[in-house]
Amino acid sequence: MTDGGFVRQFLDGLLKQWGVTNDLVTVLVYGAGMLLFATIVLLLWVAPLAGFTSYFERRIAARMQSRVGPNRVGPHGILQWIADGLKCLLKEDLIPREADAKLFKVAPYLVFFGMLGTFIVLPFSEWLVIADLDIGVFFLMAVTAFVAVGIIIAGWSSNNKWALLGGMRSAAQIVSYEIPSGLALLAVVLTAGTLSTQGIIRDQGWAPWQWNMFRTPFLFTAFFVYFISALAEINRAPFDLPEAESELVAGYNTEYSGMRFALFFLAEWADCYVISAVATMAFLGGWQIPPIVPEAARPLVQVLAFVAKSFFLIFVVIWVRWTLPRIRVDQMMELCWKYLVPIGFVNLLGTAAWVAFVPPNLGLATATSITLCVLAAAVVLYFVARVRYNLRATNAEVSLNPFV
Amino acid sequence: MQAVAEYVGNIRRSAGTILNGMAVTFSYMFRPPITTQYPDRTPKPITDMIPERYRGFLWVDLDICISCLLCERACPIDCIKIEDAKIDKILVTSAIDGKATPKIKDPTRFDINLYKCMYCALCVEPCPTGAIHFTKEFEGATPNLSDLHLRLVSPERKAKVMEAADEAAKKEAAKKAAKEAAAAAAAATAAPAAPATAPPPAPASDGAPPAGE
Amino acid sequence: MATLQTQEMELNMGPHHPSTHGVIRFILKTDGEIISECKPDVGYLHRSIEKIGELTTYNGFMPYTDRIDYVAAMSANFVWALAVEKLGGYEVTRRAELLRVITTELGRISSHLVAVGTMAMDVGAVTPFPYALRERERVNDLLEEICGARLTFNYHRIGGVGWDMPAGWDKKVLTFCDSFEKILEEFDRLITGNHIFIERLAKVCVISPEDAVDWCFTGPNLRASGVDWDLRRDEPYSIYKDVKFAVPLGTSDVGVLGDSYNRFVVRVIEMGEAAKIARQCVLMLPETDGQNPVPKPKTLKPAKGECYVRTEAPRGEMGIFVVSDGSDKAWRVKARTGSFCAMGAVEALSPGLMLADLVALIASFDVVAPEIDR
Repeated sequence: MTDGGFVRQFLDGLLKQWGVTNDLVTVLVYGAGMLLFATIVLLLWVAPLAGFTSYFERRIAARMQSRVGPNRVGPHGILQWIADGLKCLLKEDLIPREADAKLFKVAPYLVFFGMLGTFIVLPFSEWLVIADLDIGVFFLMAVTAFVAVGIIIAGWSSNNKWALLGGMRSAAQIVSYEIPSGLALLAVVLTAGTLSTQGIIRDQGWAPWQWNMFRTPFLFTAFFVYFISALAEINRAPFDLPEAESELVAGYNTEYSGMRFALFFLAEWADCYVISAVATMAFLGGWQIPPIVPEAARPLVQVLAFVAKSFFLIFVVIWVRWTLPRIRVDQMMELCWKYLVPIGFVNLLGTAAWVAFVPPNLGLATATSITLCVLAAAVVLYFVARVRYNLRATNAEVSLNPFV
Repeated sequence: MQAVAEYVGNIRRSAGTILNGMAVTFSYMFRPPITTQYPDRTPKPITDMIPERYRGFLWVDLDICISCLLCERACPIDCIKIEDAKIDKILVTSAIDGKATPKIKDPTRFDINLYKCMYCALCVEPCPTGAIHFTKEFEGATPNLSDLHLRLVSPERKAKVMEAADEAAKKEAAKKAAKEAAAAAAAATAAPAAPATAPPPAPASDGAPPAGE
Repeated sequence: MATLQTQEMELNMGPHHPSTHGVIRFILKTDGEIISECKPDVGYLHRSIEKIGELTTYNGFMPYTDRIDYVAAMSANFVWALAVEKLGGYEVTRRAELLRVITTELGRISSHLVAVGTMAMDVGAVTPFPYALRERERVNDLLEEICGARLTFNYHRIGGVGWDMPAGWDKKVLTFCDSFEKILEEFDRLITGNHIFIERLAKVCVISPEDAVDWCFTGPNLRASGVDWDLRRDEPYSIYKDVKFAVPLGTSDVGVLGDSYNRFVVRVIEMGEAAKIARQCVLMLPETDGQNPVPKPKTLKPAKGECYVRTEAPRGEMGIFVVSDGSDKAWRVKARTGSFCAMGAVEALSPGLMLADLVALIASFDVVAPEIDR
């Protein structure tokens, strides 16, 4: 499916078969085809992905808290998300009397669309991308801005002061953190020389020292800047002030129930996947796999590699959420404007200088990558040592069974 | 310069403490969870997991209850109601120490309002035989409030107790009558022995039987 | 340019709220995020416990004291027993005193675990709360073995305790104390040292020592402001003069003396000290083998008079003032609790705080609604 050509060719064939030459009918048929295709992608890929992420999160959060998590619905609780989704569908549709009904109904769809639109440019393998737009990264940043609009509308139209506070906080947060996240991605674009997502992945290699993350110290920092800003963009802890449970009950989605509430939460979990996928694409080499994999298996293994890397990052997102406390509004603003934005600018300038003055064939580039890789491995080993120290210090019983 | 040092220090401290905390939570992924998956996936049957002194629902062993009413008086919420009847004295074995305890009353009504009870143990402590005691039952959710109103003396038992009480009352009356007759006989044999100087006893003006004792 | 006209928002942080500790209502006036006025509206959990004290016997009131503060029920039992014993001159055996102190200190650990866990949760870190509850379950298991209940213990009696300890219980308490100290260290690694946590709580709502005394703060709130006062050491009751323990005070190492972070750290350290006290008392138990800690059940009729007894409960000073008129029921019972005074300070401290800080403040005072409303 290169550039959506598959669908286009199929529709063109159909139109020829029916002998249609009228422009209006052609456009309508194209429109219907796109809608159908979008529904298929949504139902068969995005919704199960979001559902599985919710199950994954609940299980991991539970094990981190010495609990079990959902394990009754289906084998080991795998079907829990289907049960939750069905429950939300069957609930009563409540709209508060004084709420602005039209805006109230529109808000969840805006947030959902902000998440869904990004799937158009996310590649899963060399050939598996819905549309390899040559403005890929730019399109990503533009579409995710819909989420901010949706949340403010949700907060305002609920006619609830707590929801309004949540919406306002979220507006400030998302708009501020667009900047460092854009700056980090811009550094990657400078290195790859193209805005297209496939182009950025093709510019990297399969080995860790060929990933963008370890290419230069500036890109290494850019990864962390992007990750933190993306966490803030999707309102996840430690930046979950807009839906801060202990202060605002549920923030901007206090008044939502049933399927509208499910749409907000589907969007949140799918957004976890989206930012992980964007980080994988931009910094971790995307679908690149070693060349020893035989030609026939390449597409499948590429998809698996991409999904595995994304889920590792989703694990880190969940891990961070359940470890850290929440940051207060003014501290969040300070973090963005006083720390992330200056560091982002330094990264950008540094990357520009590197791209301009360091030729890629010189040993300096490879030496830098390998040094960074070794440093990262050292940090990981130290981390493992701390984990073992924790287990030993409390005389904990060790159990490696993920399913209890 | 100091500002720069503080800036870098902030970043370093945040990263360090955050990673420290993340190491702790990550280490928990390798420990077994401590949840007891009640009620069907427990390691042992539930009653085996509850300590001996657990204060579950109350129950009374009516055979050894001597109806002393100490539990009714001790309850701070007045959720025990006892009515009793006098029976012939029997000996019951105390559940606390195995000693024989005399029992002269049997309850005909022993109601405990389990929905008012606060499981404080103030009724169990004064019981001399250990008749009222806690069980290990705690699953009491029910849609009918009347299910929680324990009426421990069933109508059959009450009938038996009333029968025994009637018998005991009859025996008591017979004993009393026999005693009176014996006394009257004693008075009759004693009276002719006394000389005729003793004036005959004045007839009782209130129709009471001749005083014999 | 004319200043932008804004309106003050009147918000109701209602009785149903995830982070008011119990049913308490706050009427807030805010300008965006900054609070200009905060009025607490208490009374939603008033159950007339003091009036019930006039209607039940002295022994019968003991289960009601559990409900004055159900998170730290042992302390409430303790103070009622001490008050009536002082009024009537009843004697208590040393074994009973040791058992009382062991269970009260275990109860203190249990109460501080809830306080510290909910403080972390209100600030956003959800994970320390299940860890705290897990340890609290172990304390509850120990107390369930000795008295049969996990929350409303009704363990102490006028003149002693309700049950002697079962065989092997003392070893279990020692095992718990040892493992608990390791878990406290892990807790520190997870949350007490966390930079984000410190930023949220340090320098928030600083209460100077003079203000703390003015507002009648007691317990950890007072000690976090630097005032060195602990009833267990300064007015010792029961056997506290025979045990050695440290009294943690607030410091200005991290943050400022008297801020919310200090109130958190003081509670964490106090848990370690309570484990030490429990261990010392358990080691003193074998000397009292053979003494009977359970008093004979009888109707108590203390002589006419009144007395006030105060003890160090986890939330501050809990005092009972009881007046007897010679009958088997008290003429008047009054309970003085630490949370009530802490709640009184909230209105004066709140102007200028952000909403998130108000939540942190209420959590750091460790107020529970049953103690405020009784």
